[in-house]
Amino acid sequence: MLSDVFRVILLIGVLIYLLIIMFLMRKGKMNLKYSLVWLLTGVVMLVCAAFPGVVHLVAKLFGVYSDVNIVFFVGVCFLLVIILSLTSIVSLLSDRLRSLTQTQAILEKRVRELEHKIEGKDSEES
Amino acid sequence: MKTIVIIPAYNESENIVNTVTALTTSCPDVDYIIINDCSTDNTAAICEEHGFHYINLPINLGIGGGMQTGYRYAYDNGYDVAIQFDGDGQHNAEYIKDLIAPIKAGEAELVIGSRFIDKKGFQTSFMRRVGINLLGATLKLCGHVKITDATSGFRAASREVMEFFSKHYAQDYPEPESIIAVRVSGFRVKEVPVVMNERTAGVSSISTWKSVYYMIKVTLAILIYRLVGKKWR
Repeated sequence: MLSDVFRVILLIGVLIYLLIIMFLMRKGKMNLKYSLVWLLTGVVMLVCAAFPGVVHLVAKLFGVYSDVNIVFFVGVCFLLVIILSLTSIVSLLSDRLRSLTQTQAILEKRVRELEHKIEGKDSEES
Repeated sequence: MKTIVIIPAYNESENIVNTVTALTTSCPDVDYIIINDCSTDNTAAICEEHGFHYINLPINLGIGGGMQTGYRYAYDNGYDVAIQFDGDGQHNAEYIKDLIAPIKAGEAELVIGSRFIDKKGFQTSFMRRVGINLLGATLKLCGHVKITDATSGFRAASREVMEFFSKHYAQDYPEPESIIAVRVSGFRVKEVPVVMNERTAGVSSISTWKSVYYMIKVTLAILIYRLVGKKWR
């Protein structure tokens, strides 16, 4: 079973963690879309701290000696999912940024050439 | 065939005027566009001063993103053939017609100018040739195509490949990767012999220390393309 000291530390840690997420969301510094997986991680950790019986059961089912290893394992799994999703978000963002840069540059050329044309006409007229 | 030459340029102030002058004198009937990839020197000012056709990227995108800008521009403006032509004086404009010929004849959609078919002109260092041969072997294995000069940046793309490149283009070291990408998507690739010069000024984008990393990365990229096997068409 998880030791009481560990449960208290876990509980305090998760509560601080959830508060930080709420704070970031209130400040508009984290999109709801990206916060869901973080919140889910927090809830699962909260369950681990509140109901050590569940952790014990899972540990027994998986044949894991120490209950605390299940907590670590679940945490690592969530981290992997979050990091993977971050990489995919960054890839999408860089694709979009590149496409936007290219569109802007092609438009800039059109505008520049149009300006030259107009300037040329103006100087002819005057 | 409406042809455009795309000249990617990053800090090419020493070469760009000679490159464009040589190009316009030997091929007066083709258009060109310089892609100034956010150069830190006065490349843009020189282009403006000489009245060149150029696109200024506001952020440095690297050779991949820069070339892709050119392909997008070429596709949007209805060109039939887009030629990639380096701004550093390595490529000879007189071979442009040889690159266009297979596309005109309908033999291939992507044509690569190779300096190792006739083995004339600048042949690069021994180690580089070993690397290029390794890449060629990987491409043969994964793309079923004989490529003697996989890193050659002197190439011609048909309108279909232009459209493909404007949507999907390898970003970091795009020359070998783009070959496998077009092969996986079912296009035909052909090589024609060309003669290249040693760069007249400036330094190559790939330094000696980076070349090992380059080889590993590009080989992996080619293998991944084959494994994932995604058809983008």
